[in-house]
Amino acid sequence: MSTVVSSCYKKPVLFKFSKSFFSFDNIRKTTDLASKPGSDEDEFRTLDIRGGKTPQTYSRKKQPRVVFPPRTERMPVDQDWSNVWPGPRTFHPASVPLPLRQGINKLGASPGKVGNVELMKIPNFLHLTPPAIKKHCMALKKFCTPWPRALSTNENCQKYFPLELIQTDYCHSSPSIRNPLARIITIKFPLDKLHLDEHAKDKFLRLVGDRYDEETGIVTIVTDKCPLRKQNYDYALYLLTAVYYESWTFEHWEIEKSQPDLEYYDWDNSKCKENLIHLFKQANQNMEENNLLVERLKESIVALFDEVGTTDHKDLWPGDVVSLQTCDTCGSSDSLEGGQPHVATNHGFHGAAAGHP
Amino acid sequence: MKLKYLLRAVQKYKCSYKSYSTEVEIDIPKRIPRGPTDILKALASTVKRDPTAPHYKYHDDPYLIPYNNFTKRSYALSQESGRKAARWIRQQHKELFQHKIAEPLIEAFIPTPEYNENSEVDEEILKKLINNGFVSDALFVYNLLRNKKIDITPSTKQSLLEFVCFTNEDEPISEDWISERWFLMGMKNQKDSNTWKNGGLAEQLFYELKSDVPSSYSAIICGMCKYFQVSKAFEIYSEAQSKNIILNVETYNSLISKAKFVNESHPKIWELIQTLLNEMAERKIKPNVKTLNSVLESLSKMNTNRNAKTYALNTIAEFKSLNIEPSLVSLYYLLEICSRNKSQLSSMLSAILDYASNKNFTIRDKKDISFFSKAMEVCSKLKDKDLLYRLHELLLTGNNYNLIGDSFSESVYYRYFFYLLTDTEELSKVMEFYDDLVPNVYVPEPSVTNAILKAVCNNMAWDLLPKLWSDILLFEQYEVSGVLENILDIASQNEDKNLMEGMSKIAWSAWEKIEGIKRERSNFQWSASALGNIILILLKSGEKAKANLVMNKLIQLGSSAMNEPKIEALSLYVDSCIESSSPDVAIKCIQYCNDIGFTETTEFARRINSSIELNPRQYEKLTSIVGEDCLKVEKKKDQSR
Repeated sequence: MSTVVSSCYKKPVLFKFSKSFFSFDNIRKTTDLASKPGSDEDEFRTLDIRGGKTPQTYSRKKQPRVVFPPRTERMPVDQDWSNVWPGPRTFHPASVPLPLRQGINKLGASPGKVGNVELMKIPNFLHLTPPAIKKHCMALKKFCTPWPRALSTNENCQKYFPLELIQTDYCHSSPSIRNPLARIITIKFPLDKLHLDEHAKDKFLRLVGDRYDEETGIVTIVTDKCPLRKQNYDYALYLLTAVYYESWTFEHWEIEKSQPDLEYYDWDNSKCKENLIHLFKQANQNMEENNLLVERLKESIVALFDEVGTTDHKDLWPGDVVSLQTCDTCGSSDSLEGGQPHVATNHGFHGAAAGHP
Repeated sequence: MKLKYLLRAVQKYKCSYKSYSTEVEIDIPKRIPRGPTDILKALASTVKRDPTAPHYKYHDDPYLIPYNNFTKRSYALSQESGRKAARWIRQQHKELFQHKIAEPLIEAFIPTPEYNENSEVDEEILKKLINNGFVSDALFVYNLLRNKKIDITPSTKQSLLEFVCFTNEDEPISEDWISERWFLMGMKNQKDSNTWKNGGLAEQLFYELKSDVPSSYSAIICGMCKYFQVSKAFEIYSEAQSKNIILNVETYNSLISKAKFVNESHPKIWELIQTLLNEMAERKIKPNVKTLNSVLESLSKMNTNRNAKTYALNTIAEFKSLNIEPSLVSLYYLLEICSRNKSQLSSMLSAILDYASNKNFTIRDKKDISFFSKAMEVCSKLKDKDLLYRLHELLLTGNNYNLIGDSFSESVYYRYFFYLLTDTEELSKVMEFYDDLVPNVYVPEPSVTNAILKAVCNNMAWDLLPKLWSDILLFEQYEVSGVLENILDIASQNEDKNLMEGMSKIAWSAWEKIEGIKRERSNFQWSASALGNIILILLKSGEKAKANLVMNKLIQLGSSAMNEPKIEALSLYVDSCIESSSPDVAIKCIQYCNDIGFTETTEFARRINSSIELNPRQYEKLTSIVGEDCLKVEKKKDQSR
């Protein structure tokens, strides 16, 4: 066994010598000889199952491949960069003549650009340099028409063309060119641009509901029910038209609208005012004489009902009522007892509250 | 996009706003009409060619950019064969590729249906196959329909006849394989022989149809002319004549272009063309640009005739009056017609360039692509630099570069381009073009490399040699037809001291490159002059050890090597041997000189004898080479002095 092992070791050593002295062909011959059964006593005999000749293999000595230096070296300084990098592309160090560095190296400077994965990972905007964009703009100029002079400012645009239409186009690399989201249409317009009287406006607002933004005064209508954009666009305009004309129509049942249906506190028709007049009458006073006080009371009560929940009026109105009472007592000696106006206002308040759920 | 719709909305509301905004007039301009791809084309027009980049079909990476014609071809074709393999897999495993995710559906992405004896076929399927250009499938389905005794309408039969006549029952290379078509060369010449399938399906269909459909005559004549079955085509033509059948313009075009094949003498050919044209006029068939080209094609075949040029010019004038402008191939035929006479050719080419300058050509005839290479060949023949620049300018105008043809005609164009440039233009200008075009657009053939090397030699511009040598290495031209010999020869003439090192690098890398190959099939043989030049260059830059190696090779090859080394090299070698006092090597060299038969041998021997102390054995050897007398004469002279 030991002899076999030693012979095994011997062979490669012999080859090493032969390699440096003979050409490659000579080595082939020796190995071929060695693989023939029985030619070498020390060698393991190989079992030739297929029989026949051993297939001749031509092994070419591989030549070292000539690789051109990166083309950045040949680039002239005044070259047009947008020709070199015309579109979006992954970073390539041999095409970008910039000494870029990216990434972290704890032992020194950041790694350079060659073979740097960090540079390949991040999206680059080398194709959108300012000169390239300028060129694109110049090329697209022939498709553009001049902007109407009358619409030079944003205010003018909004003034003359108050209807704003918003739609989105989607462009992505997938087999489909369609995107269901592209069908959605949004139209926006300021409410005060529509011709509406008080009734129509009231009805309009009731119809549009939360599509009206009170802060900006803009109505927004979004349509996405139909499968196509065109249909949605037509539908949006139809909705606008329908709502507008609907708000102008006066249905017979609208006469039945009573005070509780109102969306604001109507002081002139309120129970509270009635009570107050009654009170002044009892005191044989003219309401006009106490105009200032009545106005203040009116303001606070209207505020109390209209802006219920927004501010804390609880401590506002009793003050006014008390002042009214004191005025009453000061103004005439034969007035009612101090509690009465309070009760009256209280009653008025309750009356109003009952009628105004 | 958003703006567009805003404007649309605006236009709708314009009327309503006019009512209460009378004081401002808002004038919204009309939208400029544009096609679906106009924006893309406009953006693409901002991108010009990048001279340092390879063609966009290759990967922009130093390891994957091809630098010679072989790799260019193999890289492009292997990319395409990958596509073919993908298509094959898709066809083999159809069931796996039935998902239709594309919206709208792309027909080319789904596997094509296959037909066998049992498949359900009808006329609609046949129509579709004809429209899509599947030759074998269409023929199979047609036979299937016949076997099943399903009737086919004459109109479908007619379109099948036209299809078969167009393709001659052969499947053409699909238009999808752009690279394959680009690198397809040498196929044009084979096509000039009669390849028409006699008694094939086309003729069967024709005999079935001819009584019903008159246009079947047009189809069969076109097909026969296209595949050079000309005599039969004319037979059918006369049959149609006798039956008073009106043929279409394409039929007349193809008959005119093949007029040469039925008549021998030039006047008769011209007569036939004229009768055909007159017939067209009688029958009110409007000719087109291809009629013009067919006439010119026939005339170009008889360019030995004196009248050919007048006929051609008259024809062009007449077609111009019909508002038919000549296409590029018409100009090509004009050059062909004038090719016999150099002065005519020169005036013709300059007239053509006057006509064509600044014009943006589009393809109007299939053969339009042959113009540029032909015109450049003519330029080079005339040795006219001005014409060359004008022609090159025309090539670069607009999209004219698309008409350069295929890789073959492109390299023909640039081959003549560089021949003429190196002949007539100063070297700096040549190198400007060289740097711009090589290797990404054009890789010079060995003959062009030699021409450039010659120009370098004439201008003594040795500083260009290292660059040229590295290009030669890249283009793998160091083994072919004298390129290596030439560059070594020029390098050995170098007189600039600063460039010596560069030259010796070239020489040594040439030596290593050739010696390093040792390929079985390499049939490169050193010529003695090349080896001599290497020795000369190496010795000039003082690399004695390397020179010794090369000298050994030279001695080993002996007189079996082609031609002989420069005597200057051997003389320098002997001197260097004397310097390093190595007489043995020097004697070997003298032995070699003697074997080759240089007269300077004795002079060398004397030089060695006089400057080095030789031991008796060496002296004996020297005398055995040159004879004792010579050396003795030398000694006597010394003594007498």
